[in-house]
Amino acid sequence: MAHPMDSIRAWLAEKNPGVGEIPPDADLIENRLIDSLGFMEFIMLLESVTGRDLAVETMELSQFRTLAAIEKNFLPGTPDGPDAS
Amino acid sequence: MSVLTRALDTPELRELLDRLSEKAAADYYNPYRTFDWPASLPTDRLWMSPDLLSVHGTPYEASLSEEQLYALSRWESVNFYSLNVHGIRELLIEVTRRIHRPGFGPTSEFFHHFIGEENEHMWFFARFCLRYGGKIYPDRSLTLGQETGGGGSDPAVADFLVFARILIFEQIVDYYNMRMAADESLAPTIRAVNRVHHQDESRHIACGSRIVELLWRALEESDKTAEQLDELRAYLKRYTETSIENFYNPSCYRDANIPDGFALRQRLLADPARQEAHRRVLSRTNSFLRRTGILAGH
Ligand SMILES: [Fe+2]
Ligand SMILES: [Fe+2]
Repeated sequence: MAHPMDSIRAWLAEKNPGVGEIPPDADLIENRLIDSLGFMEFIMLLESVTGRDLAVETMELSQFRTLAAIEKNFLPGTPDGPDAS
Repeated sequence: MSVLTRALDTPELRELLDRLSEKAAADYYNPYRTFDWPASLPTDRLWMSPDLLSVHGTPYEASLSEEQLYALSRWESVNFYSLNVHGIRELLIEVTRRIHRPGFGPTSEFFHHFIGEENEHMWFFARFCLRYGGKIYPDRSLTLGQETGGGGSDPAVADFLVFARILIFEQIVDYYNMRMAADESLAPTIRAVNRVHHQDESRHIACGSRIVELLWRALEESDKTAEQLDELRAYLKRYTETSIENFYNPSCYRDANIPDGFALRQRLLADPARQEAHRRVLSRTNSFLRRTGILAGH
């Protein structure tokens, strides 16, 4: 089964054709890889890969800013992560 | 005062707003006494007209049992009213910010009616969700602080976008309201909520259409470049698409016991039958945007 981060990378690639490999610390919002209109679907995707609802209204933008932050905040310990079970 | 807000000072808009304010006062009702709120609604029938369901017209629809369709109609109606709750909160914030700002003098009186009515709409939509769904689906949007339309912090662009978004949102909602108000197979409470909302919204949409057109003309006559106007066009086109896509909420599929909601959403959005359904929902919006030149006419 694909790593959840792969689904997120695939979604970003589909929404931003021609962007290429996105570095883990690239600012997704500053670089407009996610904009306000795309953000809602991005959250739906994140909910789908994490299997839980996210209370976006209580969250901070910094939690979503980079691929590294997303993995750390939402997907710790996923299949090829450090504490996989 | 910006070039933009002088745009609203036309005899024709003043006359329209006087008429709409008069009508709002004459039709005023007590929303807290208007509706019957039975303890529960029957679960052996649809809560939303079948042709408004996100699966309608697709092969997937035929694979669902009657019970699954009933469940989906319950959760998609809660989603519809939840989208209203969140949409109204945002538009209330923006209209309240502007109500007595210089340049909005001609619209202030009507905005008082608008704000009062929207607060009441938010109340009955939230009540529906909480009473019959036990929850309001959470808002997934977050302000990202990105600039839109090459306008930077230009208030003329911001004003135009606020009223364009409100109008598009209200027109989409109104399509659903009109259909459900007229659908005799739905429970009386559902029909009443949709009918009453439609009545108020017809005034908001009449006023909003004129405001958006006047603000757009002012932008066209300002020093905005063709590229900046095109950026606004592209944004509104995407705003419209995203608004429709909000009706495909993976949480509704999950609550209706349909697995893989996100994947289903993507499959449905790609289905030609759904593209056709979207064209129907958006036909009024698109013809307005084309007639005014806000969207290119093809
Ligand atoms: Fe409303
Ligand atoms: Fe409204």
